[in-house]
Amino acid sequence: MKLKALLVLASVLFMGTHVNAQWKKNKANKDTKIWRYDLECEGIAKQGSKLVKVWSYSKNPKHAISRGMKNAVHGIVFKGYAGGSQGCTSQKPLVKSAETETKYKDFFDAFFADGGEYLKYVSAATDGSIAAGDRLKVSKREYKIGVIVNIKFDQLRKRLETEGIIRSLSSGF
Amino acid sequence: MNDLVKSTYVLLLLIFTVWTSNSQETTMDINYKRSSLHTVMIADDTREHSAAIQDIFINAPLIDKFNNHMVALRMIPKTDTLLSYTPQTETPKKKSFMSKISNDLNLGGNKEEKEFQHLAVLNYLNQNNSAKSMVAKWFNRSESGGFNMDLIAERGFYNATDLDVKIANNTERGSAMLADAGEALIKNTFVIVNDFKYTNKEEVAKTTKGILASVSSAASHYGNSDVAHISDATSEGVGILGKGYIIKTRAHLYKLVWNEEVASIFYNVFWTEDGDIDEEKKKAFDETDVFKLEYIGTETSWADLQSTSLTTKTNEELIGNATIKAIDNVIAKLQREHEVFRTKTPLISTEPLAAKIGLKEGVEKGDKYEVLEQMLNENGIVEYKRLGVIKVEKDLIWDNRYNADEDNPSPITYTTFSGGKKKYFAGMLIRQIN
Repeated sequence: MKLKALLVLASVLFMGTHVNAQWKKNKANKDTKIWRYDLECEGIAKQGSKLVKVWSYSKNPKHAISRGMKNAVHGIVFKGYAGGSQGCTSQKPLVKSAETETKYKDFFDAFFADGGEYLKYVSAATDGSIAAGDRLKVSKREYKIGVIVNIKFDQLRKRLETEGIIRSLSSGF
Repeated sequence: MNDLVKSTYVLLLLIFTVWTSNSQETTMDINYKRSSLHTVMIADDTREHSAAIQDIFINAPLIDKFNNHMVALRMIPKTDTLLSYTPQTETPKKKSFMSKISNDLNLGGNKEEKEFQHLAVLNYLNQNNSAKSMVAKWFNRSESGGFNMDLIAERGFYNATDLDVKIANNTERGSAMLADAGEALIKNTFVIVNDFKYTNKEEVAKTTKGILASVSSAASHYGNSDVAHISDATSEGVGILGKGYIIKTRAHLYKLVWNEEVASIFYNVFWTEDGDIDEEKKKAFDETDVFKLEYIGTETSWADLQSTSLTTKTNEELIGNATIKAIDNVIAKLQREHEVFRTKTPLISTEPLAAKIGLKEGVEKGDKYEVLEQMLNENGIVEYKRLGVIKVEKDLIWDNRYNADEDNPSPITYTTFSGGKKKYFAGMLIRQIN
């Protein structure tokens, strides 16, 4: 009898933890789902890469950090960035039309899912450390966090070319 | 009653306004850069033990927080005719009661010395081309007159934070980027000119003792044994305690003027390299007076070195210790008062509460840092709100000095702090406050 009660308690606890973890994940997604971020160049990266700082917004600063990598890849694909200091020149987005994004919605949904393929093309340049001035409280309930990441630009471009989403550079005009 | 409520309300409002204005700042350079320091002393040869004091000053070690930027001029003779400043004639102000007392007692020099010494020193430094010597040191000027960027590159590397290194490793230029960043450190070049005033406690005690002895004998003569007894006991106490020195240091702070205009003149008009010396440019540098220092401020600090009559230390040793203490005190005070010297860095974690600063930044156990949250106000301006104070933990300070990996190998790779870790987050800025 006692054992039965213990088993029930354990399963309730397990379910509780699982639900809580799922809730946290959903909340993190919800916080950043609208792809609200700013992208800026952080310097001239090594051959085939782009070094960018991505500013993500979230009610929870931890979410903004964890979503920074996803936002950065999204930014390179759909937004691009302006040039500026540190020898940076402007970068156009890889996917230039909104129609393409809609047409390949299934691919991009899977690509940007949690643990998705986007992770292959991005790495944290500072091991997750945030530079002085890159953690900003923008309103009573919202934070803006800057994270510097390295994007494997050439590989990402090639991947989108393979899918037929963008044309290859050698395909001519 | 109504008036009382009104007054209380106004008072609370005032307190709140003052509190909020104090707790939030809007202007701050969040990127801390190492400063380079040259120290000078005003030397008074008529003073007792002057040779020993000067020797101690010249050999006193500079704290790790600063780049050593000492150039030849370390002493300014107090009697030098160049150490002068002629103030413009103004209508004399009415003396305050306190300033009259201060002048009568000659506390810390006469009025003219007090008011204009910093300007006289600035004149002296500029006439002796101190700024030019400091520029020459930055660019490693050789005897033949050639410049190079070696020291700038070395200091650029040393100034780089852990984060800077990580970012640089991801760039095309790699660590060369850090070397170039050294150039930004030139504008953080400072000169501290110390004017020490020594008071020998033993001599003060002797004078006091003399007065007390007179009181005692007078009291005995007139049959007041209680007064005589107290005077004798006090005199004894003064004898035991009255050894050591009190040093008042007045320190004037100056900064090298280095801006885009000066830098452009330097590179275009004076730059020449060994192996291909341009004699005209060399001569132009030798003769120029374009490099200047600017006055930043003056701080006064006291160092009290207490010693008993039983001590075995000589007066010269006592003066030596007191001088070093005085130098440390005045540098500590300058660090508190001037934003540019205060170490700033983000927290890298809260479990443990840690930051990537260490001995290179002069971190010591018990040092206090305020934790600041950066907030965007309704006008889009960044404000800094203090959330609390954290303290450096004993024995958990990172040794990030030059060659520390080889000289002092340790598993510690960050400095740990104690304080209310629950209310802080990684990425929050911490700033030195003591």
